[in-house]
Amino acid sequence: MSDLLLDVRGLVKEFPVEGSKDVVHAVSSVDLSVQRGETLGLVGESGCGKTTMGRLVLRLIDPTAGSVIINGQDLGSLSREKLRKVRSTMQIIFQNPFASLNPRMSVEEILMRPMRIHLRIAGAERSKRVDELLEKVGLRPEHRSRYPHEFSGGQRQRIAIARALAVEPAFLVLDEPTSALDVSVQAQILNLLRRLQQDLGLTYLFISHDLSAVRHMSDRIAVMYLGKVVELADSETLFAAPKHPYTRALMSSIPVTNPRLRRERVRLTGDIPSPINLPSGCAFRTRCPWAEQRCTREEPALLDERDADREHLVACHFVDQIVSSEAPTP
Amino acid sequence: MPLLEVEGLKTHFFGKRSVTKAVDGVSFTLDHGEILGIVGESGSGKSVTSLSLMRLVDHPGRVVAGSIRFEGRDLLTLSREEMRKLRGRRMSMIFQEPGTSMNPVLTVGFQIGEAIRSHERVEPAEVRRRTMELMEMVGIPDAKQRLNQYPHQFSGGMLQRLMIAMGLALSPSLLIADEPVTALDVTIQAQILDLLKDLRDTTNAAVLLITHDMGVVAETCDRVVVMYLGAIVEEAPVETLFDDPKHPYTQGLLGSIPSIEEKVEWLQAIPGTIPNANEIPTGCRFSNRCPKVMDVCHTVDPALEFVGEGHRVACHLYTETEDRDV
Repeated sequence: MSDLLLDVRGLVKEFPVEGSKDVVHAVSSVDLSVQRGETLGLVGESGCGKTTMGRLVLRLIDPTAGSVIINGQDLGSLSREKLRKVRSTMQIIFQNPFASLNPRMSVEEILMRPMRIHLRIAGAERSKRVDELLEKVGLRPEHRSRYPHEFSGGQRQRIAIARALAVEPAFLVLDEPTSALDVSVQAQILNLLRRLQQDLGLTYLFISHDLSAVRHMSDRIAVMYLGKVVELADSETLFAAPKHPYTRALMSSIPVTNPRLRRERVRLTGDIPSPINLPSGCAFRTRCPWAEQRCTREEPALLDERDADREHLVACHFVDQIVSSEAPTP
Repeated sequence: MPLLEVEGLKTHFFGKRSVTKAVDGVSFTLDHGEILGIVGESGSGKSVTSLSLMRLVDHPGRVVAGSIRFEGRDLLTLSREEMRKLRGRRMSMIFQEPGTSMNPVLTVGFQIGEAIRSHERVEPAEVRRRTMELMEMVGIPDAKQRLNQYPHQFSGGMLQRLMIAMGLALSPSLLIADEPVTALDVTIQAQILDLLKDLRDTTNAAVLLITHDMGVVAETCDRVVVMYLGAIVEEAPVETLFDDPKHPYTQGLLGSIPSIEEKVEWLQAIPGTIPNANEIPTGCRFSNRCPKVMDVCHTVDPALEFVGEGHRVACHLYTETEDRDV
């Protein structure tokens, strides 16, 4: 198990609701692992807890329960000082490059600051590395003295990537890294992220609501719904043979860029329930066309339902019946 | 006669130092019961085009040229009052953020009813009955109770349904939908797109769908117009556009979308970034990013020419050699 980079066990995060005893169940007992050099995709709709997961994994927020183990170290057991050191090995890219870069710092300052904090290298060396970083992300040396407002959204995201790489991390959390960008620019950034992964042997946790981007980037994909992982498989298997009814609905909802393939959708009725009052039993049952009595009473466990030699985890009582049937019309 | 005929539309914004040509000579038509997609990235002018049709362009912007013939009348020659009567009654518009398009302190029933009351003299009971009917038509359960609720009590998808109900309150012949599903989750997106198609089938209203999402276009539209930096670069029936895209920009746009059908290692990204609308390159506006650029592209702006049935492209690759020498 030496190639395990990230191991998440029983992770729970509840946020208090102001002025009440209620809590928001953002993440409810999630287990995940990421191998070194792999990209794990985390996909789901708004409110599913995927962004909270990213924050928890880096310990930018403290979990209510459970543990995050990176490189064999349990982040919860580390002192502040030790945690700060471990942080240089893990970085995050945010969705909005207009908000994640300090507008009053030049590109040079933005890139040198993390080096000054985390790396013990001389000023001249830092300055030299700025040029290397800019080249790595497809920017030019003359960009170093400019300020964020002088760049387009795509270029800003390149700067954010360069900043993350400045401390030579092994692991990046990519939280909707291209959602704020135009498609033609999104493709540039996805290509860049892939090339960097190949060149530098990086490990990614790729968080997105965009299934096609997740499929493109990920080796394995975890589908989240209301704070839980409902299905997890390698991306080929997941797209070829999704088993959880939510995954199936999600996939048939993606607009496909082929007008001849206007498919019959697995139509989901209704909206995502509130994460404050989770439904009893299976959280998806309120929208599931296959839901039965048992789903109300009993929460399905995430079990291996593989058909081939590769892991395929699904949390559904009726996997076998559902896979071989069409959705009943609501 | 088409329902809507836009000819040579130019909408410019007059800044202190420069003029931004947001829409720079756009022509297209739209038939009854048709769903036409206008697709483009930021700065393509797709939203300004739709606002120009509604005559909702604000200072410092102005429609400086062209005509918009709608149901036989040129909208650009109508008085404010005539235009006000048309909006909502014959043509209406829904926006990307359904939450911000509604008044948070009024019930949704009141707001839908207002769309009816502001154009017709009807009894309150009748307004209420029609409001409920509209809410049911767009798939809102328990309309009778939900009528009295406020916007914050609805989810994003439900709010967009309410906006559509409001837009359709007076059975207009044209519904302009500006990125109607962009702010919504994908399962909810599918619901709203299905609803738009169903409503088109039942009411025969034409829909002008503004979007940046090629997937939404493929799933929903009959015909597509691709815009880049204020101009139409390609126009085609939806199947033709996806089977046989001609313009290098359209090709690049399609190539840059990760496919869910097959996995490729590298995406065909379009190099560079979209220029600002006040720095449009001379000649062809796509020339500075085009992988197939030729000398002529830097000097001559290509016209939109037919290359097939209903298929028009603005690109020198497809013009006759004689023309190129001119």
